[in-house]
Order: sequence, then C-alpha cells, then structure tokens
Amino acid sequence: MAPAESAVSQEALRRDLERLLGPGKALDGPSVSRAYDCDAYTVDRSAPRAVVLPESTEEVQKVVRYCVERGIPYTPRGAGTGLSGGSLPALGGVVVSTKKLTRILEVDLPNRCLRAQAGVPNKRISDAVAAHGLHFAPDPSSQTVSTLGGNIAENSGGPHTLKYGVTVQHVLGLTLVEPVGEVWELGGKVSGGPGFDFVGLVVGAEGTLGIVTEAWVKLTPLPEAVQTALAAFPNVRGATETVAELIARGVIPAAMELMDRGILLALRAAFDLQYPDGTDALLLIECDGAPETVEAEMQAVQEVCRLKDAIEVRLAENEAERQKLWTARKKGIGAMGRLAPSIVTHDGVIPRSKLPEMLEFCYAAAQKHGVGIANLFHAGDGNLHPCFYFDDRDPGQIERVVEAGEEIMRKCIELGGSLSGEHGIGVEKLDLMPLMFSEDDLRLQAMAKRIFNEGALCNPCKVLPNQKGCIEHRRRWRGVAW
Amino acid sequence: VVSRTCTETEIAAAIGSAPRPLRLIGTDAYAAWRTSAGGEPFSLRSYAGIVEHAPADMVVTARAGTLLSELQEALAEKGQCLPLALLEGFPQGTLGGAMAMGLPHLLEGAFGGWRDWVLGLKVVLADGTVAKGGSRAVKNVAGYDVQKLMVGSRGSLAAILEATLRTMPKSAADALPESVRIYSAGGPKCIQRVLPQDFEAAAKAARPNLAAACSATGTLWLAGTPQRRFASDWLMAAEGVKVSLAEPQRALMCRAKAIFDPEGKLNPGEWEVL
Repeated sequence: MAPAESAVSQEALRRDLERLLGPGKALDGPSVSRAYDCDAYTVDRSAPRAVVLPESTEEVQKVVRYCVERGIPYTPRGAGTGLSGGSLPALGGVVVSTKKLTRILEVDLPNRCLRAQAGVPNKRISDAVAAHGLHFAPDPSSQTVSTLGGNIAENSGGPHTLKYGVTVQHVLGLTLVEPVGEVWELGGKVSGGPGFDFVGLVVGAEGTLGIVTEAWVKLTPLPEAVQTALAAFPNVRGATETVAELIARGVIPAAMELMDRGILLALRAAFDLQYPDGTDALLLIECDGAPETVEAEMQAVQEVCRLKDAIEVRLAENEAERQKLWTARKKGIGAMGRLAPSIVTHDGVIPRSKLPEMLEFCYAAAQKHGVGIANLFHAGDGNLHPCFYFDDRDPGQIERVVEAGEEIMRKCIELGGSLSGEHGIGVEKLDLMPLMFSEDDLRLQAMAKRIFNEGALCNPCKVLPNQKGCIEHRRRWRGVAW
Repeated sequence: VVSRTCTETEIAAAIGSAPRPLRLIGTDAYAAWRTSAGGEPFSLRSYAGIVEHAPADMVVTARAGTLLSELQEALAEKGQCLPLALLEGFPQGTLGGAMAMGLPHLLEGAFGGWRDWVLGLKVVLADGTVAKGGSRAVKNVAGYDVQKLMVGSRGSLAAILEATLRTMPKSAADALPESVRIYSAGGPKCIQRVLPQDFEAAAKAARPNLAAACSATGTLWLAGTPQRRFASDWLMAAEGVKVSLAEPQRALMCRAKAIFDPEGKLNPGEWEVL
C-alpha cells in the first residue's frame, strides 16, 4: 500500500518535484496555494500543496508516477476557466498545470488535422491555420484563453456547436497519461476505428480518466459565406418561439444566441450594442455555408422573426460589424459585472420546443427568491445559461441564489433535459446527479470510469457523487461562514 | 432458442438469469460482420416500436427491435429522417443492431454517424440491471458518455434496449453527396478507411473489388480483401478478412469487458479477444 500523503513533508515534496522536472517547474507556498485553490467556479475552494508546470508528456508521466507511488492526489488544470470546479484540487495534493504545454506539434494540411499539446489555447489553433482557410470548430466563449486540454476535459461547446458539433466531434486521437502513469495513444488521425470508442469516453470525462497531454484535432474549412443577423423582439417569448419554430422547420443556422432584457443594458453600456426602443430580447443568428444556402436560410430566419413580431431584423453589413456583435455576445457575461458585485452562471439544457415555457419558469424562480436574473445563451441547442446577479456579502442572498438555481435545474430534468450542456458536473453539480440518474445509471457510469481509473488519486471527487473520502461541496460550504 | 419476451422487465430478467452465454441479435442481419463464438441466440426483435417522436425538438426515442425501415417510414411521415444511407446488399436490420455495430454509412461525411446522433441510451447489463445514459437534450455533458461507448461495441458490454436520437429534415437523405461513388462489385465484405491523402490511391488499388467509396470520410466498401494497406488506415470486416486491434485498444477493450461482463455472458468472442 502507498504511504499516506502526510508521510511526505512539504519540503520533501517540493524538492522531489523540482528534482523530477528541473528548477522553476515546481511551485509551492501560500500565494501559489491561493492562486490555484479554485477555477472560475469560485464557490468552492481547496488549496493544493504544490503546482507543477511540465513541458512534455514524459514530464507529466514522471509527476503522475511520483504521486501514485506516494499516494498523493493530483488534479490537471488548463487555463482555469472551468465553471464547475473541474480543476479544483479537491483533496489538495499536486496541481498539474498545462501552462507550459503550449506547442503546436504538427500541422497536416492535406489531411486537415493538427496535433497540439494540451495547453494550447483554443483560439491559437484556429489562428494557426486561418491563412489556409481552416479552423478548429469548437468555440467556447472563453476561447482566447481556455485550452485544448480543458476543452477536451469538458467536451466544450460554444455558439457554433449548433451546426458544427461539440469538441468530441473534432478530436481524432489523444495522448493520455492514464491514472497510474502509463502513456497511451487512443484513436489516431483516421476517425471511427474499430472497437470501443475510448476517445469518446475520455473527451468530456472532466480530467478524471487521466491527463490528456496531446491531441490530434480535425480542421474544418471556413465557410464560403457568412451572414449574421440581430433580431429585436418586444418580448422574450417572441424570441424563444422564433428559435423553436426555426428548429421545427428544419432550419439549423450555424448559431442562434438569445440575450434577454436582464443583459441588454449591460451590453449597450459595455459594447455600444444598438437596438430599437421597446426591445426586450435579442436573437443573434448566424448562417454560414455555400452562398445560396446562406441566402435561403437567412430568408427563412427573417420570415420567422417577422411572424413572431420582431421589431427589427438587422443584418451585419461587414465583417467589422459582425465581429462587434460577437464580441458583445462572447464577452457579455463579463459585462454583467456592471449590474452587481457577484454573478453565478448556471448551465442547463432542455428540449428546444420547451424554451418559451422554461424561460418563463426562470423569471418566476428569480422573482420568487428576490434575485436578479439575466439570460444570454445558446438558444438553438436549448442550452440555457441563467445568470444570477447578487451581492455575495449578504449570506441570505447567496442562499436564495443557490435555491433558485436548484429549482431551475430540477425543471430542466423534469422537461427531459440535462444538468449540464457544456460546463460539466465537476464538484458543483455532484449532489444533483441523482436528480437525473438512478443508482443503476450511476453504477453504469462508475463502471465506465473504472476502465481507466480504479484509484482515488487522479482528479478525485468529481462527476460521480459519494466517492470515498470526498466531502461534497454543498455540504462543505454550508459549514463555512460567508 | 429465439426469445419472444417483449417487456423491459422480461428481457432484463432473461439476460440476468441466463445460465449460458447469449448471442444477442435483432434480425441477425450482421452475422457475417461479427466474430461472436457460439452463445444461445437471444433476439430483441420483438422489443420494437417508437416510444416518442418529438418533431419540434428533432428527437426520436425508439426500442432496439424496431426495424430501421419502419423507423425511417415513421420519421418520414413528419418530414424527418435519420440521415443514413446504406449500400445495396448492406445489412439493414434493427435499430439496436445497427447501433451495436456502428458501421460507417454513405452520408457520414455530411451528417455524422450513430455516435453523433445518440443522445440517450437504455441498456440491460449482464447481471440484468436496466440502466440509462444521456438524456433527450441535444447537448449534454452530465456524467460519463456511456452511450457513445455502447455504439459499435457489438453488444459485448450490454444489450441496447432503447435509444434517443437526433433526427434531420427528410431532405438530408434524399440524395447522395458528390463525395460518394457507387460501383457494382457486389455486396461489401470489408470497410477500409484511409487518410484523405491516400484516398485516390486506395480507391485505385481496390478498383475491381470496390463496391462504393466516399472521399469525404476516406471510406472504401470492398467486395473482398483490401489489396493495399496505408499508414493510419483501419479495417472493419465481414467473414474471411482478419482484423487485428492495436494496443492499447485491445487491452482496454478486454479490461472493459471484464468490468461490464465478468462472466462472459454477452456475445462471447467478438473481435476474437473478448
């Protein structure tokens, strides 16, 4: 049996890690512990004992083997933009940062694929091949900083996944340092090989099945033509009904994003986003592809918008205007800071025809609990991001925000939806998993996990509830004074 | 003995209490594409029917025994389809069978395949437990993606009972894209997929044996053994063509099998190693 973690003194841990990786690649101390004690889900925190910055698969392997030999938990981390605590070092131990795994290793243009290390930011992949008319299709709003490894762990989406699919559809092969330190190559440059789909299992496993250090990703041709429209509605129902009607007609634009009254003022102030007086909701709709397809789809979009009483449907006239609309959308959550000291963004999914009903439920829940709510989300996928704004200096408000959020999650499940469309379960939603899955369903998932991870050291306490030695975060923070 | 059981509980109980290994089938359309060694035939064909089609959500839930042809007809009534096109002479069979095999099809380049369409799945485990993964939403990252693991696993981990899938407008399957070419070499016995750079050379090498080819996915459907292999390519094969699995793929599949089906009750002998 491995010795208990406490058997390794802090001094020895630091010295050992530095010896394994070389100077400057192992950090510890109070400021490091504080900087790495959470990701963008800040409700729960747990400090690591040390942080390592490996530069290669071999270095990651060395750290994992060391941790396994000594029984030290370890947790991978990309840019730390995760919204469910996926890179929270729940049991302390070592954080394995991919900050220095930033090389694009091979660009294979004839075969439209690219091999990169896990720490390469999403956007850098697209930028690297843009001159060749290609891009990496997943486009989470965090894409300028969030990393390939993080996108793989969370199976990240983004506005354009409506048409292009989520991360798993764009990953061909992986290099994985599995939980006890072997290095495995899964999948390869040719998609869909024989046997079980282990790449499909590791993508979206939230970094609990090992540490992905490199990946082959698909490169997708940039569309020949793009048109982007901003439709203004006098009420949110018109916007949600437009989305439902377009899907029901079989029109699937590249993206359909909804912004409601809660966020419009912030967007106008922050990004000079213009919309007519009397607007209560905006739909950002993008169609792309062959020019004649784009033309036909945009016509259908405009027709349905008018049918649902849009005040105005404005087409972006040039690329600059288009980029401006997307900046407002992608940085929109940041602009929420203008409304209140704290925000919590939720992530739930519902069948798309239920959008009008669901959004009304969200407003009612917020009103009932006396908290502010704004919605800025991937309407075409039925992927909601209700965003509560409040003052976290008031413990009563925090409690009400959490309760309103739970009610919304319950409603998503009741309507046949999901607890998460793209942010993951992490530690945030562990204790909500039984709402969506029975004990037998969870056992099935635990079996899938065991194929890769039978231990309790690799990113512990995530995804599946009731893991040994883990305290679920709600229980944890309920015991903490705010 | 072909099972006539037709409720979820009966199927689960029959699988859970089976004293000998089972060979799961629908219509047994894929017999030539499997390597299952023995086992008592156990058919899920009678567990059929559409549970729910929500056209406005573009989502359908159907039982495993539903014939693909019946499913497509029902979807077509509402102007929708599964964007699936199969070669003449290619097995049709049931929804459960097609998903368990997960073989490439002619429209995959444009519309993806079973792993892209599956949103939720209900299965019976070897011990008779009924469990599900996924949901009815088109986007979902809650929990491990067990549904993708089951597609193409040939029923060697669990028996598929029911699936929830994305649908597409019917026009998606109306015509074959330009990237697909059909030849007339007879029913396919082997599928080879190569890198885009090798596609033309592979098609040329295979020519007398070529049943169909898709340049968008680099896929060749062959009426016999492939004449040439290429870097990074793979094969899926019907009888007489040997397919070997690379490491660690083979070892991981054996490990998965030991966890899901420790007694080797479900489809023993798939890929010859399970």
